[in-house]
Amino acid sequence: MIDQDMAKRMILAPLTTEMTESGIREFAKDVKNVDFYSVIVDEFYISLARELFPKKRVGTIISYPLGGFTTETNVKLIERALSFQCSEIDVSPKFNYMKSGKWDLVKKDLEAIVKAVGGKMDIVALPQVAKMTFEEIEQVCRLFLEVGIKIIKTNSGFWQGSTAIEHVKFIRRVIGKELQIEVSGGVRTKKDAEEYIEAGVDRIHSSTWKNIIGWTEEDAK
Amino acid sequence: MTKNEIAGYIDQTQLKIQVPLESIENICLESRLYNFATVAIHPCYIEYARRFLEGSDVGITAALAFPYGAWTAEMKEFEIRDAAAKGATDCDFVINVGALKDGNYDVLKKEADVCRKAAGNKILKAIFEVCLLTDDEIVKACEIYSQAGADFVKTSTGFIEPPTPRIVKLMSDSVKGTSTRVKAAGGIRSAADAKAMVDAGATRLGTSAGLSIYQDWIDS
Repeated sequence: MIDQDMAKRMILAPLTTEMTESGIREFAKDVKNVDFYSVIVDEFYISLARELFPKKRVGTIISYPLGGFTTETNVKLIERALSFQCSEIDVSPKFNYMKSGKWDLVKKDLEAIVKAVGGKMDIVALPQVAKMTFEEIEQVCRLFLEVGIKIIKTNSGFWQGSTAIEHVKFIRRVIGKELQIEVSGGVRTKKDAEEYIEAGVDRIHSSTWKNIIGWTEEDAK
Repeated sequence: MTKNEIAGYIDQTQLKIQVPLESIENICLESRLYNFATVAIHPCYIEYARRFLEGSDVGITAALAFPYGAWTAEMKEFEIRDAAAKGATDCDFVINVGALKDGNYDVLKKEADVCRKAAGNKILKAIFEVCLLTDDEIVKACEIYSQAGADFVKTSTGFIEPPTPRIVKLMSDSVKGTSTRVKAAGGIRSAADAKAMVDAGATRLGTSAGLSIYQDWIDS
């Protein structure tokens, strides 16, 4: 039996370099009985995801996960996402600016993103907690709130390390409840998921979602 | 091989997120000093890098549609034009790997043509992420992107698995007789790694160890 309460917290992301159209269609079959929160796909697959999940939240990624796109490209991607009525975008700040303390430049880029979105989609920002000091995490989370971004996804979950329970507790302690937290990187089992939720996480990204919600082959039938 | 020939192989690369911006200044100064082919960076830092390269022959490689490549041709066209306008001399874009794996060659041919046109007279490099591909897929991609006139086919982003000399040789054999050449990137840490890639047919190397590779190579 699928744990639908847990499923409602799950953000599913069939997002790998080798993801194919057939892979997305296969994924859609797998999740047909899963009441997940949202699905995140790359720009090439937005229209397909819209077709396969007409009633679901569909999102895409912007400057993700390395934070290297120009502001102009970010704005163009936002226009594409809006044209398909996406519900959310996952955004990386400009990490090398952050690491140099050039917070004004990080802010300028984020402000352009917030302006282009115009309140029409949720913006989920990525602090890459595994690669940042706690001081940097606090600073960037405060900056997100300052520019009007109210949700973070802790890590990209790909090559950039894991989110520890300590990261979640730290963000909850220094930032409070104002920021919604989506955890990514390190949540593999239902037990992990429960621990992160207990620590204050709102939603979960995990490639092992089937394991976490108790999905079986029967659920695709 | 002369010093300048060795230097001309090197795209000195800085795509890491956990280092300060000044690391880009550093590779610009190194590249200028030793006359490397280009510095390879994320597109948002092109204008920053330019100021350190004014008056030199060192180009700027922008890592585009990076690292996943799953964009429409329209998005890639936009990003290539944007990077070129900001001062990129080399546009390294990740191809639509999923379309290749699905055998959806029309998508790839369109992408290859659109990107070639968008890049104009800039150097265009198509990144394959070979660790995810079969030999047949690599050969097919070489055919599509060389036919479209890409200046280089490039092995990898450097973020997953590094390429082997065998794969570089396969790519090099596949583009023989065309104007397309091969860039090897990922896992090239030493002069020995670099020479193995050049022996296999690469004429450009993407590496974050460009300086030590260059120095060890000219010493040997």
